[in-house]
Amino acid sequence: MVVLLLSGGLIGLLMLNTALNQGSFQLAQLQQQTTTLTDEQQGLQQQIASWSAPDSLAARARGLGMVPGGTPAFLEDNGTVLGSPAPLPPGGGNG
Amino acid sequence: MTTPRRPQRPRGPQPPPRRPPARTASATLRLASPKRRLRLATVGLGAVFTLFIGRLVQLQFVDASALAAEANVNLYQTVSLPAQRGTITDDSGVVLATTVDAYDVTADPYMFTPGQAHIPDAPQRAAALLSPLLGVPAATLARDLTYTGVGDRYALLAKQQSPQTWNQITALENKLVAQAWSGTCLAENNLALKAGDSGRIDEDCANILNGVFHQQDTKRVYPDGGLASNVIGFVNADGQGAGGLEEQFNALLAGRNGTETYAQSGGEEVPTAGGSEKPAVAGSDIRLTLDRDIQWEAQQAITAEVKAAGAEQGYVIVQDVTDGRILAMATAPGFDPNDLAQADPDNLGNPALQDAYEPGSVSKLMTMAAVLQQDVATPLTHVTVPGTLLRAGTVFHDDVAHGTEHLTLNGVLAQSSNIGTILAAEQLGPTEQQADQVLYSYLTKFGIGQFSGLGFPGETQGILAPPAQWSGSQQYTIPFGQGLSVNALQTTSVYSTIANGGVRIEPTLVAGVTGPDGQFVPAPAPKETRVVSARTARTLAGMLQSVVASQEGTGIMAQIPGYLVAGKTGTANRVDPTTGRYNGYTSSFIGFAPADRPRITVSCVIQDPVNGHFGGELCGPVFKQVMEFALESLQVPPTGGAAANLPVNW
Repeated sequence: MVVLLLSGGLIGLLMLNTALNQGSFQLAQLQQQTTTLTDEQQGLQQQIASWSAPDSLAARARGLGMVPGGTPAFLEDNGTVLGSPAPLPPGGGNG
Repeated sequence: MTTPRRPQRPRGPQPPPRRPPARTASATLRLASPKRRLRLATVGLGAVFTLFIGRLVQLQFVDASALAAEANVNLYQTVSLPAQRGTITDDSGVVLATTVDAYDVTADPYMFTPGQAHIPDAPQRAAALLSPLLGVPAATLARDLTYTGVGDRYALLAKQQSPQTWNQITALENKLVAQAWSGTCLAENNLALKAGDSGRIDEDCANILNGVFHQQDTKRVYPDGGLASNVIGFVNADGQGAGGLEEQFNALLAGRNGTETYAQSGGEEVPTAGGSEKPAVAGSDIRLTLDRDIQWEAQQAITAEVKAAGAEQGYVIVQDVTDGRILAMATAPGFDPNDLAQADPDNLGNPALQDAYEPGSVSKLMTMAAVLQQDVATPLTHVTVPGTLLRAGTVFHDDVAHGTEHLTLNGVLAQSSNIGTILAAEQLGPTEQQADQVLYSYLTKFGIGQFSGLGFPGETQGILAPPAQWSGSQQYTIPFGQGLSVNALQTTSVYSTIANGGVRIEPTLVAGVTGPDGQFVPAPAPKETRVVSARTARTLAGMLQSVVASQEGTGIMAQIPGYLVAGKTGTANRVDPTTGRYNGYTSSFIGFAPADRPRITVSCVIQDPVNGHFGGELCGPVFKQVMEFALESLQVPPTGGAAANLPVNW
């Protein structure tokens, strides 16, 4: 009887310990994973930001042969033109 | 218990063993009294237990609290939970400043000594490997890694490296470890370990990155680099705001660090032992009124013009007329807040708010506003403008020498005549003192000499002396913008006031704040005050059109085909900040469009240009470029209205 109680207690204690350790292992693993994913997300975000920054957008647009728009003009739904649209001089707006 | 018996064993051969006879002849053997023995034992045990109990009482009751406190010092560990610093975004939510995880790469120089690394030149080899990853010169790294003596166990190799960089270092080290503990290297390393400090191995077998470590840190990043850096500011090495809005709203952005207390044993947290946690309160996110694209265009335009004109500096401010929000505030030259080490300390400020200068002719708009609102003249009033004018012992003349001219009041503004403006301002009161008083009241209502309300660090309120203190010549120069100082936002606001039908809206730079609870709280509505009547404002807008549209106007370079543009040039004598004397020029142009239904005000100021100095020439094109871009971005079509076409001469 006593032996049973003792061994039962011992096994119980062992299992409790294992469970606690298991939890802490899992916690550490998940924390590690969170850090990795956060780092990755921040890295990607910075990459997006550097691509969408006005400086790089303008450079890429210029690389594609685009030029700044110059004086704006608007086309209404009914076909009326607001403003004085004029073709841009080659190589850039604000002519 | 066995002690009494033990001596008997060696004496085994003794013929009469004691015990058997003892049973039979008990009467003959005299035993010690068991009673006495028992008593002695009891007393002895009692004494021992009394000592135990005494100590127990002492521990549990007498010294309990002191001991518990002493134990707690070691048992409970408190760590700080850093609060995440808030972001700064533009009006549409594009992030202009944010905080990311970073690692400080550190090392233990002792581990690079020949005794520990088992090769003679570990610091140099490690430096060569790390230098391209960390972007630090190899010589500097090698010096940091060289052990200088007892206690040199820490070296900070590079601060705030990206997680990617640390990953690369880890990968490199893993490769070295794999190499060091395989093949022939395995045997070499084992031998070296046994030999201790004197062990030496082949260079290729050493894991020279063994002594490199990392520490968690955070880093403030500005994804668009120098974009709006003059407004946003920067943080110092501790991550605290040290300039611009980062400084002004530091407490709000920083949030509040939390603490976590837990029971520890041998460095590990004791489960179920309890503890307490005070969570960190994250910093608030600030949303600005700036529009990133317009800000960029403004910055491009002013940077190019400052360079072309060989000027000291220049500022562009774009303001929404209808609500006073600042859409762009660009200065040149600027700085990159991501790389403060390379920045010129003189460029770290925001001179658009911090530099007080004499505005010159752009200030004539306020004089005209006073003259019209006081009903002492109309735009068509005839003004005879002589070539020179003697007042208070000073001979005044206009920028461009001329004979006697017949200008309308509109023409005085269009051609920016100083003499005509002095003559008009004299009409404001029956005596010069009264006229000064009236002009002063208008200047004050337009916000001159007062803080803008932004609360920006280091902002200037400009200089406007009360009229009683105006010197003899000052009372004649103030009407055309000399003898008083303003910052660029103050003059911008004057034009926005006229554009907004005479109602001044206090400028704002912060659209709202998102607190740690995720709720966006818009900034309170700005103060509005009427300065001149709607009719006066409309008349002034018409007069400002002549400046740009008329062939005799000074601002023809600011024309935008299809749009009615109102604006005013300024070419002021500049007070040299170092000598305090007039030297060089302040060239400016401020205007709004569309003139008959204003939406946007753009101002351009260029300080101390070398190539050219007329405001219309230098700032006119900048105004045009930025205004066109802003009209396009905000989708403001031309009104198609007729030009005011007020006459200039009579």
